[in-house]
Amino acid sequence: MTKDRKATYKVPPSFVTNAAESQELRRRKALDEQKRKRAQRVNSSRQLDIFAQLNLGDSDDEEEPHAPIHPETASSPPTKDGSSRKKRKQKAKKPPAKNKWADQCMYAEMLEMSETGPQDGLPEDLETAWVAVAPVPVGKRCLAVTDQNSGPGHVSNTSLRSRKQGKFLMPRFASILPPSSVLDCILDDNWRENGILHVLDVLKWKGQDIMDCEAPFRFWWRDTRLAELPVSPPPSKSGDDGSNVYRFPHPSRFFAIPHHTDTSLPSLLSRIIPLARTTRSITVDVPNINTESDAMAVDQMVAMQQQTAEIRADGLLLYVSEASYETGPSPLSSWVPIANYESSDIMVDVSADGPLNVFQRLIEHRIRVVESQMET
Amino acid sequence: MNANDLLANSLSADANTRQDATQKLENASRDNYPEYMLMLSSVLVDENSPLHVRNAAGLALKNALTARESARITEYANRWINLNTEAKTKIKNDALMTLASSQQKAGAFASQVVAAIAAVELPLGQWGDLIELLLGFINTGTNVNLRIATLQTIGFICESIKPEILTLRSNEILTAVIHGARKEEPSPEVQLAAIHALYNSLEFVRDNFEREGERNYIMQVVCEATQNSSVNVQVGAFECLVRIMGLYYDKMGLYMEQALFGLTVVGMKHPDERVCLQAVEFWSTVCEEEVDLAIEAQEAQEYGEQPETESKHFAKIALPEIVPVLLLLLTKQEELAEEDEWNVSMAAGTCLSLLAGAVQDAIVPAVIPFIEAHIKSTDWHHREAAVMTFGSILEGPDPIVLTPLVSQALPLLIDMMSDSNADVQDTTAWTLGRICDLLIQTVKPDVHLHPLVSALVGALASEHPRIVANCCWALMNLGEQLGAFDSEHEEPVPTGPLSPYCEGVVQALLRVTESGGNEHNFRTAAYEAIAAYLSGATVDSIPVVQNTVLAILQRMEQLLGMQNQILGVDDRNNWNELQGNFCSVIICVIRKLDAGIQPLADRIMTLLLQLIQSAGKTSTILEDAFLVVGALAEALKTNFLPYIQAFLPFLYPALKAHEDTQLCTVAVGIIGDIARALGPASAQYANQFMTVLLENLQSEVLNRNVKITILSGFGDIAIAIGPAFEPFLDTTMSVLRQAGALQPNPLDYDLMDYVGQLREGILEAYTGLVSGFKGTEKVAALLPYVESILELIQRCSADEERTDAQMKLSYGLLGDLAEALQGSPQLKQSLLKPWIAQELRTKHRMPAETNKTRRWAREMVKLATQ
Repeated sequence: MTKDRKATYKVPPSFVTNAAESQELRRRKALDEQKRKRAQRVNSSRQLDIFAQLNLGDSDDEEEPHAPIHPETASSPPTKDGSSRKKRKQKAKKPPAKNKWADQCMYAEMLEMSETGPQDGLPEDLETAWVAVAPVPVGKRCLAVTDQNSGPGHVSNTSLRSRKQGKFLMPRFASILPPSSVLDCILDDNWRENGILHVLDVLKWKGQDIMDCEAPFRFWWRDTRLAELPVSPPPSKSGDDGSNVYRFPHPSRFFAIPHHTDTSLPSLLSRIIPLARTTRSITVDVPNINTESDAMAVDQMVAMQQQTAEIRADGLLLYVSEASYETGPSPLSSWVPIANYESSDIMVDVSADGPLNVFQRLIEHRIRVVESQMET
Repeated sequence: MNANDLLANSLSADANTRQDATQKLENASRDNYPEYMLMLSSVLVDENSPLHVRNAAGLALKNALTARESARITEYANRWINLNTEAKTKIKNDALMTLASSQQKAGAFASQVVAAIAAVELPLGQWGDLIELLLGFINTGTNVNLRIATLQTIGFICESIKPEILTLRSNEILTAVIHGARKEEPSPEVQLAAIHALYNSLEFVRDNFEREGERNYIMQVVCEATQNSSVNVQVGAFECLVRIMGLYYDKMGLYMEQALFGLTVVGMKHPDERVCLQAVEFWSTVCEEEVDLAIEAQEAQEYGEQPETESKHFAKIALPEIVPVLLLLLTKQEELAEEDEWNVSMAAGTCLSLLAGAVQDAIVPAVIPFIEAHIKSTDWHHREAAVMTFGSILEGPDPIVLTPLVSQALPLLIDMMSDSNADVQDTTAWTLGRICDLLIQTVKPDVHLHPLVSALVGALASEHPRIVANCCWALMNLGEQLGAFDSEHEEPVPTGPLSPYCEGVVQALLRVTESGGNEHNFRTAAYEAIAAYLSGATVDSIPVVQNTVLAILQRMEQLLGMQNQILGVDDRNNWNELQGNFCSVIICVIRKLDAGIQPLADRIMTLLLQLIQSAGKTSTILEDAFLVVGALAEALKTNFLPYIQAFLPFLYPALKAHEDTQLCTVAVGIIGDIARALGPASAQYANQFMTVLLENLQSEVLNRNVKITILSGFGDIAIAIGPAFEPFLDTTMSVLRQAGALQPNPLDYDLMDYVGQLREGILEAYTGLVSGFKGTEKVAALLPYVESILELIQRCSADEERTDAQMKLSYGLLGDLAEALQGSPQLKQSLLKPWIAQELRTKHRMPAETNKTRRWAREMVKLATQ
């Protein structure tokens, strides 16, 4: 007994000082390493991220800057019928890319609505259990990812990853975002002119994972953290395209897409739906290079010019309030676009009968039902 | 030379005389065993022989009956049993008669002889009247010497024989022993012998302890003995209490209240150190029991059950009484304590840290005033005691409670590394080591790191190996806690808090390791610390990694060159240990630099082959060398190819060393490493590998755990060479099916554990096989085996104790099968079974990775079954 006590009194643990035990530890480590490598090797043959491929048509929208955010609507809405399964099967045979950023965005399903059936298709608890995001801008859905250990602004700490395949959308660049952050974003269609990246949701901020938080909290977090970011001057070097107009080499402003927690029927009708159609105007500073193009290289002394960026609206997103962030397609989020994607015309005709119009009529209908109930 | 002289010479002070005599005695025992034994017993019993000769005779008798090595034990036992009855009876009688010798010491020698004979005969059901005889001596005899020697005999018998052999007589034995220990017994020597015998019999009187009346009586006698006028009896009584507490904690509630509590607190203050040590040990035992019970209770709660034994929280109740005494004892350090000494302050320190584990948060307010009052004392005893107290309570209380205290104390502790007293320095280094290990969050890189590292590195130059070892450990903990470990990160980490110190620390540690000695294992600890820094190096410290490995390789070269100078066992052990240290560091470097190790590959491999050749049969060296080879193969991938031919001739003998479990496990692992590294290029070796692995599986000597590794190895080879595995497919599959059929007995925990690991190995093997064939033309070759694969997965899924690893492997394997054989009607039929859908629907909580695999598998199965 005393011998055992003596052996552990005020000394490092025996695996540090005992040669045999330290070897035993080494041996175990090697075995663990072998297990890990083995699992790695097997996983690489599995394409665990294959979901990224499952819901897509044949055309790859990744490379098309103007593709709609929600490509499912390009074909029929996802159904469980045989033809859609067949498509999955064909796709599954293709060797898909394996990329940890692939298909990580929480991807809304189209809200399926009916003006003829007994049910209107709107969630029963729409007024109480949902949160709305509008106007969702036209643009390219992507993830903004910042590195772990680099301070903001100094080195190329940020990358934009395409939603579906997780590929780089552009070379890495320096941003004011904090390290170890992952943001769900929409890259503005005109980002080269206005430098805007719209922030839809937050997965991780400064190393803190908030995917498990409820939607309203995430949006509040997003708004407060983005508001605290310092204003950064536009990148000094123009993404030169030959013209003598300033071109952003990469996005440099991060704007939150407005969210609305009051989803009562009147609020939806009078406020949120109109907003979802509205083109937002955002004032941004853009360097003026028309006059002194040489001064640009020296940076700093750049004359700024205020410009108004017009942000075209794409529609309305609804999130289940209680839902945490889910990667990949999720029924906990619903998409109500302004226009049907059948029309290949990118110039959205607001007057056409798109899903948002249907949504508005169904809301109006519900309001009438409620009013009539109150009268009786 | 007559027997007496020979025996006397066997204890001679002169080595030559002694060796000569011992040799002659040994020869005699071999040449004429009966006569030898009879001669010894007649010397033992002869009251006219000098005492030291009788001592030698008793010792020789005992040594002819018992041995340490198990082979000898059987040999000696048989030799005795086969002795003729007449001789045996004579020797036994001589020994029993000697118990009654007027010379007490002769009786003590005889008691060992009687116990040694009993240890051989009683388990075989012989010498049936021995216990009765002995009890008669104790109960009826008036000869005090006889009673003492007999009680000693009983003590020795109880110590050496399994409890179940004596249970039938346990009542009588206990009665006799307790009788001798009573306070009414006039002879303290009899009491002492009885208390020692009681100590040895405590384990097999479990039934008596269950009965309240008997238990009360035993406890009363032991408690009274703690107050005996003889200190030796007191010590023995406290020893009994320690052991009783360890064995019968759940029965102690009443006695703690009525007596033990007070007795032990007073005992800790006893002027005689031996009593004091046992009293402290009593509370250490209480704390250990209660820590175990707390863990048990937590486990039981997780399963929604009641724990078998509930903690009575003696430690918490006694806290206000025992803490002040322990703190007082802590200040009784001895100047220049001997190396192997165990004293009250050390015992108190140990007890305090166990107490912190048992009472957790409650210890903090109980000791903080003492620490604050003494940590700056001018008397080093008080400073050391204060730091020791602080270091001892760092594990147990909630880190939230400790964090502010540690943050506050850190600057002071760092300063105390330069205390004028070496003991204070040593205790401080140990305390800092524990902080870095347990509460790293209190070390703020921008505030504490610089002074902390400086202080620890400074003390590496200390002349006291103890301090150096503790500093190495503290530095190692810093490295492990603040370093960057690649497996946790996707991309290399550019820099970290230790970057500015990495080079300086490693340099200092390398200097420490230059010393020839290894007292207190300081050198081993230094190498471990170096390994931690290199493994955790960030990108900006990679040059340190590169330079260090060069230095280590150079040392290895030097040491290999010194092989011929090795003299004796100690030299050899030292040489082996150093090579092990080098290998450990080189492995870390290879894992760190990965493909970047290429420029050094030739040099490393050359050294390793030399090392392997020089190792001979020293398997620890071989193991370490093989581990380096495995790591190198993983890092070099196909660039490892040029080294294989030279290496394989060394690998095969290790694979065939079936009796050496560790070496064989490592060697089997290397095959997997090589297969993974070379991929399809390993096909040329597949035949050799498979042959030796299959042979090993059939070995009856090989440890069963190695066989699990072999199964996983099949998977490694298959996934590496894909369809080229076809020639081995049938054999492998039938082996796996057989292994998968093993069902554990639900009551045999060891076996259940083993079967769990075995299934993991089989699942890994199947996964490798299916992945290897997936997407190749030969994939249909898997079809005949689908059923047996699914059978195993189903068996695993029915197992409630299934590990997460098994679960993940099961899901993955289902997905792999579905993906590999998609379109096969046979597979579709198999996969449509309801249990599979059930298995993949499971929604209970699981780690994200496992869940991802499950979802993937579900999709794969859907695709294959539509």
